[in-house]
Amino acid sequence: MSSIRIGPAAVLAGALVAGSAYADLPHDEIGQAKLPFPPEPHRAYIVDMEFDTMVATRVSVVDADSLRMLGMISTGGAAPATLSHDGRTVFTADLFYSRYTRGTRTDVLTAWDTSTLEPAWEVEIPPKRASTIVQRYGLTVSDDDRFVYVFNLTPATSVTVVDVQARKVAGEVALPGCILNYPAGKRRFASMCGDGSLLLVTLDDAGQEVARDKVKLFDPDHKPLIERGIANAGTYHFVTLDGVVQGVDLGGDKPRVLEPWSLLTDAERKAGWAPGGWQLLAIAPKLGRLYVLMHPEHQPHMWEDPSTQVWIYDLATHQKLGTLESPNPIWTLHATGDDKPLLLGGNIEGGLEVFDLTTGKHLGTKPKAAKTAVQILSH
Amino acid sequence: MKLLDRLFERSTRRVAETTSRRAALARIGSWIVAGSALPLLLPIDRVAGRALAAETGKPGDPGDPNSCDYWRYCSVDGFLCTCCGGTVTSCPPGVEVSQVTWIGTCRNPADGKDYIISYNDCCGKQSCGQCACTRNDSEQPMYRPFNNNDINWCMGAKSQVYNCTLAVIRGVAN
Repeated sequence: MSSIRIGPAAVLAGALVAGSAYADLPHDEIGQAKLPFPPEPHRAYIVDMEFDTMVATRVSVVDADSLRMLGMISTGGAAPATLSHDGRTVFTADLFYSRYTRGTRTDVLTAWDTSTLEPAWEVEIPPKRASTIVQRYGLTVSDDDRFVYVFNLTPATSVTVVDVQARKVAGEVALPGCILNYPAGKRRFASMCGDGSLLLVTLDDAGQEVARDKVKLFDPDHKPLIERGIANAGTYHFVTLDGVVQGVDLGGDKPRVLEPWSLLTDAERKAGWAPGGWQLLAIAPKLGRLYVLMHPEHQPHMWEDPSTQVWIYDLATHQKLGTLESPNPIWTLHATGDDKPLLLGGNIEGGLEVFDLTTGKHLGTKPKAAKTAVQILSH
Repeated sequence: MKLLDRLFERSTRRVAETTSRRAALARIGSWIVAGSALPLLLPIDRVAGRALAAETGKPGDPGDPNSCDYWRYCSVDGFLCTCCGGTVTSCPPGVEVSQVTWIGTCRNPADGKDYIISYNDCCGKQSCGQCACTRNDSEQPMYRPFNNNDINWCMGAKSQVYNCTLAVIRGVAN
């Protein structure tokens, strides 16, 4: 190929005349993008349950720094999603019908490679997976990535335990009267029960139940709490409908119920402030801060309402540190786990709101990051 | 009302009413709170204030079953089957009723009695997308599943795929 060197003026003149002054571009290679490993801490996985169909659903992957979409994972039937601790895998619990909306039902746990966003492997699981608005603790992973726990609701409740190492179902644990699975350490998970207790199930290395225990956590009749809590270093934090935080430390041998504390002063409560939303709590572990969606003019039926206000608390002192204001109402929150954390909010239009938690600044909105953003995850 | 209606149709099952209301609040200011959104929060006021344009035609069962304000929908959460090709008690053509359901209690403004209403989901075709309605007057967290509408109640049907929701009288509550 010949190359001709010409001056800028000649380039301009040539471009104006014919546009033929450049050498031909080389022919392209068709490729396929791949995401880096280890994954960036600000890579957001947005669980999109696409409420207007809820059949073919997805996880959309977005770089929260550049607000650019990085890719997608196609899921089946409003699938819950969770990330392995080693950063290599996105697990989704998919529900498919052989004829799209009808026919034979097949439930699978799918393990997706976080770099290629392709399925690495799958395991067929009992056709019982809970079909709900996607909950953070509907699908979880043991601390050592050995077992995945899938919440079932038929309406009998149970957990399917999948052995990641053997890539097969290890068994099913019945959870009469209890919902979801809150992982605790390598071989234990908790489940929240209608009588206000947490059921703790301990497994052995084969994924079989070896012990179960119960601890009273709350009064479901007079002080109901919202099941969509958030974990930090073995401790789960929940909030009651009227804004009292109830923690429980599941990190030790025995669960330890922590002293409750209020998000609100009496004056704020009297003025009508209350928590609300779907995933309404987030924790930035490196800052030791709790973020809560709060709204004014509260009425009892508004406990799942979205809000433009996020209140910030110090987890150690329980002091309110400030508020964040979103340009759009947020329904689901997530804070990244790095030392320059972002707060990510799924807004009611399916957009992603991004806040820098070091400066408290709203960095931007990624519109249409999802259709129905119900959970946000990051490594 | 046009904007509010449009927002209703775009919304999600649980997000439906709440987000629509909030989005409306965020975008068009407080006049709509007094003009339109507030009655959504107060369905009984709304029923009393409406002209009852499309009555059921049944004596003692007042209101428009195509409207989220209809008294039986006091705890509904989803797309109204009346707007999807069905009726308040019948699924649309080719859509199967799920017999496993959750229930609410609604007061009939005509006789002042509380009725037990089951919110059976109709299943087997994807979301209908019409008349999203979320009233949640008696909803509780999911550890009380039979009082929770964040659950897809198609679990009693052949297909779990959710289409729309009925509101069926099961008796008078004592």
